[in-house]
Amino acid sequence: MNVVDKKWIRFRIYLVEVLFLIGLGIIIFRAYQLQVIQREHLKSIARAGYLKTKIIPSKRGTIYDREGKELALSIEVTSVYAHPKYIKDKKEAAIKLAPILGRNRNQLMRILNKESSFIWLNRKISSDLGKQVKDLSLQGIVVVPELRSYYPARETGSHLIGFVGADNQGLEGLEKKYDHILKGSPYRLTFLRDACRRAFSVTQTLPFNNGVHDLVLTIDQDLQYNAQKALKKAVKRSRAVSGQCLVVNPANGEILAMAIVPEFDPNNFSRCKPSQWRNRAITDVYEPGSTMKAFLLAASLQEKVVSPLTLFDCEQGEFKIGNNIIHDTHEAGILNVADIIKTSSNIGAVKIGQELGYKKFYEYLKKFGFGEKTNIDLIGERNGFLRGIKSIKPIEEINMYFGQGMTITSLQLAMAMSVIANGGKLMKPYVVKKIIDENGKVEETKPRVIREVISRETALKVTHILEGVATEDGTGVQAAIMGFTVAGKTGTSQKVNPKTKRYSRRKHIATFVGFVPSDRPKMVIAVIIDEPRGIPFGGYVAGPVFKEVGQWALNHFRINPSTRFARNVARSGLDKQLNSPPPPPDPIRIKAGSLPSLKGLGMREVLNKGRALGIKVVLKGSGLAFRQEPAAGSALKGIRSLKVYFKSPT
Amino acid sequence: MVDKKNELTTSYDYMILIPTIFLIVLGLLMVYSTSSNMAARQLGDSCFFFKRQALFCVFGLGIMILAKHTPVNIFLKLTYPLLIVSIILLAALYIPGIGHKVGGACRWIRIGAYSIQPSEFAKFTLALYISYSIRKKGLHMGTFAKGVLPHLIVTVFFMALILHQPDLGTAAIIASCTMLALFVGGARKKHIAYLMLGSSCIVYFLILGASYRIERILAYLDPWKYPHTHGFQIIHSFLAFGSGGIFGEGLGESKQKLFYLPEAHTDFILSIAGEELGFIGVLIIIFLFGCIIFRGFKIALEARDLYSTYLAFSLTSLFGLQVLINMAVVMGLLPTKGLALPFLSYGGSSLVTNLLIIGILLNISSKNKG
Repeated sequence: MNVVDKKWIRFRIYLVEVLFLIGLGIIIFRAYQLQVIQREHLKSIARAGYLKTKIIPSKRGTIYDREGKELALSIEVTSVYAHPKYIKDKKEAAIKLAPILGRNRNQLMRILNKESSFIWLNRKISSDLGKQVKDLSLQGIVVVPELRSYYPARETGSHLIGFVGADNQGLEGLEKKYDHILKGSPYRLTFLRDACRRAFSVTQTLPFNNGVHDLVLTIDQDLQYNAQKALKKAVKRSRAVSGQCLVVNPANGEILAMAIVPEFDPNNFSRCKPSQWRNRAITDVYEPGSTMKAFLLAASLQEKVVSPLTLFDCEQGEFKIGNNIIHDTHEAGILNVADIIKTSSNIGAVKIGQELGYKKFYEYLKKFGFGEKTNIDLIGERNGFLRGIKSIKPIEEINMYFGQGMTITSLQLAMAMSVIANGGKLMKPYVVKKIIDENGKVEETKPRVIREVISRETALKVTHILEGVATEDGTGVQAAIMGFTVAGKTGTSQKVNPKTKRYSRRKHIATFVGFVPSDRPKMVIAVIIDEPRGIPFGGYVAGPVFKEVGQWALNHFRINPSTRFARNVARSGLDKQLNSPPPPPDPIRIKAGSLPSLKGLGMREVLNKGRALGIKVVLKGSGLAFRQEPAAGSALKGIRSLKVYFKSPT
Repeated sequence: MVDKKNELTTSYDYMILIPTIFLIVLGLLMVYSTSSNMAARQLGDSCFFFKRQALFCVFGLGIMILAKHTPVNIFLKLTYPLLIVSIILLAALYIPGIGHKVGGACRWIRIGAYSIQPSEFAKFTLALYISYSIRKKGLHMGTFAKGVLPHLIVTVFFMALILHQPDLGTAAIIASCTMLALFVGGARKKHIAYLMLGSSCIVYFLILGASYRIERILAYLDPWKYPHTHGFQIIHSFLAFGSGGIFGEGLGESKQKLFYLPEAHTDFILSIAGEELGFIGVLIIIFLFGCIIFRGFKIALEARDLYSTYLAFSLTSLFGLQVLINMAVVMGLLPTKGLALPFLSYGGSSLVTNLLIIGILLNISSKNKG
């Protein structure tokens, strides 16, 4: 018997064939549905599963000082975190990790026993330690690379530079102000990974340009360090609350140093109080006191209401205006304008002020930049306060002439003094000298003149009078620097007690602001000491800081001392100088084969000269050289020893 | 009836042989593609599974050629001995120390470095038995007691042994295969209907009886609801198919095989094939399988004697059901079962048994001509 004969079997087999045909048809349709219709949907889910994007923060830009020394840089560190759920043997993990992470074993154990699925163990530890942890290859302990900002100069310049938070964001200072160009966009790394979380194919290459810039500051790190050192010493000596010391180049408005005490270390900023982070030179305002007399003088001379020799009666230290009595610390009779400034007579200042009138004084204060932001490239700057012409009462006018009833920032004070130093121009201060992009393209900050405030002649006259302050009979003798003439003004202001709204008898602000060398000003230095105890006078408290910082800086920038000869030359050529960049230091004229003049040199320079010439030098007296035996110009031949007489400059 | 000249013929039915060779080669490629990463990571030899599969191929092809040249009546005589061997092997799984457990199921007997899966062999011997038995019952097939019941008893006995492993998938294949054979063998439609009803009830209670089966059914109905448990595997299978699209990611380019999709080189090898070769590749595979299946039925229709018809039919059905059910499972049309896809999935027992089936079909086919 054969199947061919049995039709019903054939029929049933056909039927089964149809069933299979239908089955395969359904399979084909389903495959079509999955692979063609739902393709995009399924593929996107699948890609989300094995495609991972990792964001690697780019290194922050470096901040350099003007000499190219690193002030802030980004370094690679590692952080360690735990997935407590995935740790098999927590005790073993704790025992192995404790010595590397420098932690207590039991404390670590407690952390690992927590229910949470993610815990940072140590953040931003050195790469070496990170590698050690990685080498343990513990399950559930993950080591990731991170970046942290490192400030090699520690406290030096920290108020200016600021710092960066744990997530690479600028929090204070320049790090915050320039965060957008220092930070740069993070690298985005896209790769495939298998179900064991192993990456196997990087599908996207790194961007080469991610917008990171470096900053070059106007700050000189060494000067900044020494300014901070000198200021710290003075604040400590006078047991003051805080202090500020600004060094500005008057010719272009560059901030060479901006020292603030109390200091903080930006590497460990969180250990300091936020009040320590504050850049007090721009954020704190106070009543300036007598330093304003310099600007009163400038205004009055410019308006020609007085001349340096105009005489005023200083009323023997007590002057009654209406119901108010104004006192001077030193009683005096008739004084000329120059002496009023030199001795900082309040009565004299009021009388000069009355000649000028408050309206003009107010205008000039505004022109000098008080009461408005300097717009320096830093954050948190304040305006200060000037009483307007209409709202002022007569007694308040009187007080304004010696700097009471208005508030200023130290930076405003330094910039206003720069006007006098540079021949009458208010400059815009700045701390960022250059911005360098990642291709090395440099964008240099151009100095900007905000306005002409006074004429050059007036500036020279004011300078000449201010030179008297740092002399034997001036209030700022402590600021005098040997071999150089210093022009400046002291200030001792009383602070207003916030409770009583009256001037405190005990709380003062001691100020000295000036420039050196006064005949060719290279730097304006403003020193402000807040609440010194004991003697509060600006000359006494702040003057020595001016001297120390000035002396160091003059030496550091290789500025030659003023000889009388050089001084005359400088004087006559001052106009030209103030317009052009500083000229090369005055050469000491040496005819070949003859003895040079040592007049006006300090002792050290004289000794150096003598050593260079191979002559034994005998020093007599102290101060600056004023006489020498044998005289300058004598033939060098045959001279064995040289006698140099010194005396203090007056 | 049997012609000596025909018996010695070396002519092969290329309509079956060529698709088989294609599928075996494709299977070897896919086994290597899907297992190399896993083997390299877990066993330290990326070719581990490939080499073994190649060895099974050689052995299987030998068996196929042997079966092709064995006179058909030898199979008749071997039916009972093979049936008994099958039962012994299945029963041996219950003996502690012999049964080898993988993933909670005791389906393998370990022999040295290799293991055999008795249920693969059991499927084949049962088909052999049913064909023999239907032929013997002849006209009695119309009655329930004489025609249907004996087959039912043997089948249920086998199913019981296999279900206990547990292996619901193979049991379902055996049941379906028996049912198709009985249907073609002359059982009444009424009886078939009863059987279907009865087995549905049994399946229903079996599912209710095991909590993991209920979860599997729920995951089958909506896998996206259980993405981390029972839906995990089928979701990744979908993702593999979807990623492949029309033209595929290219041979070796699958992402899902990188430890995302479990059993990528065995039960779910078609998913990876779909990802790497695309819808076109899947169509080709289905076409090749279709060739074998419909050629098998053609051989059954043209067989010279009824036994050959039944044998060719039940073996083709067995082969076809494995293909259909595996494909339906990996595409989410049926609940997940541990079933291999003939020729493509890694596994010696399945490969050798399926080549044996092909060998017998070639054998019957060669008699049909002449």
